[in-house]
Amino acid sequence: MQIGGRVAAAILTGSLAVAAAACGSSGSSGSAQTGTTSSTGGGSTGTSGTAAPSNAPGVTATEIRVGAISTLTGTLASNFESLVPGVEAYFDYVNAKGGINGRKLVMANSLDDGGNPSQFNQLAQTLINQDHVFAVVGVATAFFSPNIFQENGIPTYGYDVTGNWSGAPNLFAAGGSVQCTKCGEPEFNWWVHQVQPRNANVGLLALGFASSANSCKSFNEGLTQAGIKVGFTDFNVPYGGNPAPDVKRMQQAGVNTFISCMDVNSNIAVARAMKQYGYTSVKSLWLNGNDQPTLDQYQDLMQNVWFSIAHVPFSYATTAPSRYPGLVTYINAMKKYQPKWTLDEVALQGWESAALFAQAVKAAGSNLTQANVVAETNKITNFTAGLFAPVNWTEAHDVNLVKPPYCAAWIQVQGDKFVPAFNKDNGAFLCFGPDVVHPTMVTPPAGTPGA
Amino acid sequence: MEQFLGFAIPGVPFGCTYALFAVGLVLTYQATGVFNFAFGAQAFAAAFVYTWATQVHHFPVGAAFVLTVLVMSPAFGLLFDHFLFSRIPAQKNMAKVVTGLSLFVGIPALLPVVFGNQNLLNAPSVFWNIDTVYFTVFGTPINGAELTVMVVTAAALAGLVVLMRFTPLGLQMRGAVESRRLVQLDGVNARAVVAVAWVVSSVLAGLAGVLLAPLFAQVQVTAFTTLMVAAVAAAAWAALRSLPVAAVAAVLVGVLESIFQGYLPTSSWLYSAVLPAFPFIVLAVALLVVPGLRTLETDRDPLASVDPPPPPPLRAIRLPVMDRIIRVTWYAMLAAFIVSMLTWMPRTWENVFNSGLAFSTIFLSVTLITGMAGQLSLAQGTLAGVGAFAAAQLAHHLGLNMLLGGLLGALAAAVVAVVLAVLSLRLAGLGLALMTLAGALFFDNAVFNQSGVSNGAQGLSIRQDWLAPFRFFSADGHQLFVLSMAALVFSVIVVNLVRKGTTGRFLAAMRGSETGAAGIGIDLSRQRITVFALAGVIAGIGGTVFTIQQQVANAEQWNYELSVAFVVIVVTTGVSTVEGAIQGGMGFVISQQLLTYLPGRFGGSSLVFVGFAFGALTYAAHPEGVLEYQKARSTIKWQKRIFERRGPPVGPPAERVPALADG
Repeated sequence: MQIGGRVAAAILTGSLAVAAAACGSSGSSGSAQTGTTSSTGGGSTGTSGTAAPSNAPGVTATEIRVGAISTLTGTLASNFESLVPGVEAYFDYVNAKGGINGRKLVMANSLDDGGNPSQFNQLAQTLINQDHVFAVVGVATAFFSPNIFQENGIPTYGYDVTGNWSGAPNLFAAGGSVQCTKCGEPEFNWWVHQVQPRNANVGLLALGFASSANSCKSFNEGLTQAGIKVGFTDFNVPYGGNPAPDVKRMQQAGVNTFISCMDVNSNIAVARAMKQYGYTSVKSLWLNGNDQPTLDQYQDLMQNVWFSIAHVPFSYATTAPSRYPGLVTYINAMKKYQPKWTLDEVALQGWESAALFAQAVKAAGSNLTQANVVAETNKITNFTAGLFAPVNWTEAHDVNLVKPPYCAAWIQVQGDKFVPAFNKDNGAFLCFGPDVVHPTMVTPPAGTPGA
Repeated sequence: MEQFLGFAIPGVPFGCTYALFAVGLVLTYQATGVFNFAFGAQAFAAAFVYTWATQVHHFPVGAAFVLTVLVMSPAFGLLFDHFLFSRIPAQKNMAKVVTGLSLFVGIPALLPVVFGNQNLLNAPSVFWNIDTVYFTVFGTPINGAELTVMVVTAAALAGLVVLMRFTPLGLQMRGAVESRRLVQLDGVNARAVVAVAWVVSSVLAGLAGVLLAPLFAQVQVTAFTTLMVAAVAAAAWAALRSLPVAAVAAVLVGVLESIFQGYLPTSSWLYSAVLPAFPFIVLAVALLVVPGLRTLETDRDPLASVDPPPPPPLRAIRLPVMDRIIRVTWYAMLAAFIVSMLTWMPRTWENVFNSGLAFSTIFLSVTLITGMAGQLSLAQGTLAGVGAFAAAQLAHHLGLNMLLGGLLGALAAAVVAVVLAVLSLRLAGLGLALMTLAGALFFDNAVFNQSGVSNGAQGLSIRQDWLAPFRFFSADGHQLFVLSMAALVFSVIVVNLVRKGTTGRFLAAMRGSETGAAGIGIDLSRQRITVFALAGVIAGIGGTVFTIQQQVANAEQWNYELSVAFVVIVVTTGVSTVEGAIQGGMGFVISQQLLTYLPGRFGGSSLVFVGFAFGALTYAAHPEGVLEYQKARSTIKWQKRIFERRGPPVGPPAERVPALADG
């Protein structure tokens, strides 16, 4: 059965946590693993020559065959369909340079769950037992169930919207396998101080889904801990409901700073109601909606909305290309291989997943087994793909291990564009220490793109 | 007072969006005799095509409006009437409901197949601009879209009241709903009258879709089905009879929601649990207290008795010798299947068949309620979910083995089923379907979405140690197959015992005539509660087995849309037989698996639902199920081929020809 917008809302509100998790990372020292990846965005390519023999499933002398599961059809497809194009673009880019250690990366089977909540395990079994893929590179569905991949030790890479990627050593969600909402608290408190230096009064709205509500509840705790006034909260906004009562209540409570943990549909509805109630002086931060087609349609309602994102803002590809070669590589490759999805955030996650896999395969060298690729991925301490704040994969499976600094890029809507915000000297990422009460900006860790 | 009005007034335009749907539902019921579950899907289709035409292909707004509202929507109406509803005899209410449900499932699944994936944004307003505030009422701004909805709702209401009450066409429509044949005796072309009624109703659905589309940033089907629920509640308060009452009730629902949202503390339990479930509570209360809903489907056609009887079930037309051949063949196939599953079956396909066995178990609960009791429950997926979540939570919190928990979960599902049965004791047919739908929606919005129940979006992962000493997750054994098979066999035995026992006889009598059954001393309430409880147990067991297979208990596995889809699937394959349920379960998963061999661009998983939905559209012609019908044809053909040389076949014994159920 296709599941509609209600789930889509839950998914998209959940995706913020991915961003939050991406902030946390880096931790200890950078390592040699960073090397080429951070400088080129796809750098772990190259080295043609004869491939060492391998008995691993899906591996031949010339190919490494992988699979993917995502929602490609049905009403949820627009949220997920671009992940695999991002993976494929990276594979094309790498293969054009000779592949990895003499083997091409091949997407053997990209399966579609059609937004059907009861099909994931069946498809996972198909990839493992029927297609005998080496790895699953590209999981993008609201119905991800990790157990089968976990039991079979399959290296699995993808887009975490369900929050159940943590714990298992072989599951690698783009940006880190934990959803660390706590990690976002210092930066959100800092943002409040920036936009309302005095008398900030914050309103928080979240849909009645765990993925949405939990994020906003966490921010609420952080704000309260910092002594910032929270004038109104609603963590149970009905999906598709009437936005007017909440807007009116926020207005009556004197809220001047608004954080939304809702999906883009609800954000637009609330923004419209705010405008029509003449409630226009509010500073807004949305966790969802930083999408160019959405901005193209709702420019008027999105002016001066801020977003915290996990990747280098796309605009740097033109304003500071030499400083962000990874972004330039990504955009050029996407324009060449998947032009439809060039500026798509989910495609970016696909690219990141594929780049991480490729780096691990390269590191595995002649010992190309699934276990070794998992092990090699987990040795990477500073993965960026040239696009993201560093992720330390020795820590990124366990929320308790994620350490500051917490890094994110900020963008703001101006006219018909998302432009970098709060940045100095074109430095994309702002990083913070753990202090929620007095958020302190710290130097981005080594390897951070643009740092 | 100003504060109160400040919260109440925003509910008026919002309530008008419900009203537009509610009026459409009542009109369709009054003018065609069909409760059109597909009204929201029709509106969504119009909104989808309208937005696609304007935003993707840059049609002028007026041209897109004409295309969707004045061409596509009435064409849909004519097609529905000509190919589907006009072929359903007036008294076959269940066939009408099932056909509507099939369209509800099929239309949204078909659109992406036809148009591809579309992220449709910012549908333009047809009349007044949504971004312009035209006036304020007690501080409440009214924008162009809200103004449009209010004006169009009022105009549609006035026009339709005039049409239905004060014009000959309206009178003919109402007459045709009661008895087409009687109206025809008066020289009226009843077919044309009903066709016009479908055109008017479909135009209204299209109009609703196009007018409401700008209210949503993205055009998604859920927005329309959400509206549909509130509209159904309002239409129920009007007993599906009065257009003005439906409109007023819908506006009241919108206003009350707005007031609650404005005044209730946002951290209160009332706000988090009751407010999202408010429309379903309103619907359930209407079904309990509005007397007109109990007599909705009382047969009013004095000429209904001239309709031919329904076809006999397959088992009644088979020769005894053919029966034996088929039985032996089935046993041989079953043995081959079991041996294959335990020996050479590839693990992928073993997993597929295990899922099929679990679905078959759940589908048997549909067989019990719909096939045997002649009632329609739209909450069987919910009952499966109750069983699954109960078992998983008992294991999670109390450390109870999940197999034992599954039994307790089945009991919990039975309790929920009994509550639903008790609440709907005075309802039948459509009323019962709506009550069970309200129950399913209540669980979706107020129970399954609670983190304490389903653990949020990620669901509750099932752990191997909850199932010790069994190793159902192990790739080395076939324990999961044995478990799935055992659950199915148990359920088949229960269903067959019920069919052959006293309860089955009573249920057969109830199917034939509830009044007659009561007349001979059958306690209808007791029978209905019994069958619901048994169906709850079976659904609960199936839900637990399926959850063990999936290794996760997830709220979305058991939402109301799947409950509806379950009915549609079983109806397609054969709702009155055990084989029908098993064929449904297996067909569902096998077709999904076969689609994995095709590239997604061919329609992917959506095609499964499109296929079953369109299969179920044949329910009116073949209430025994399409597969069952084809099997009957083949059986007759083979009987002729095999036995014609040996002389004419001996007819089946008269006592083996029971009447087939249909509400």
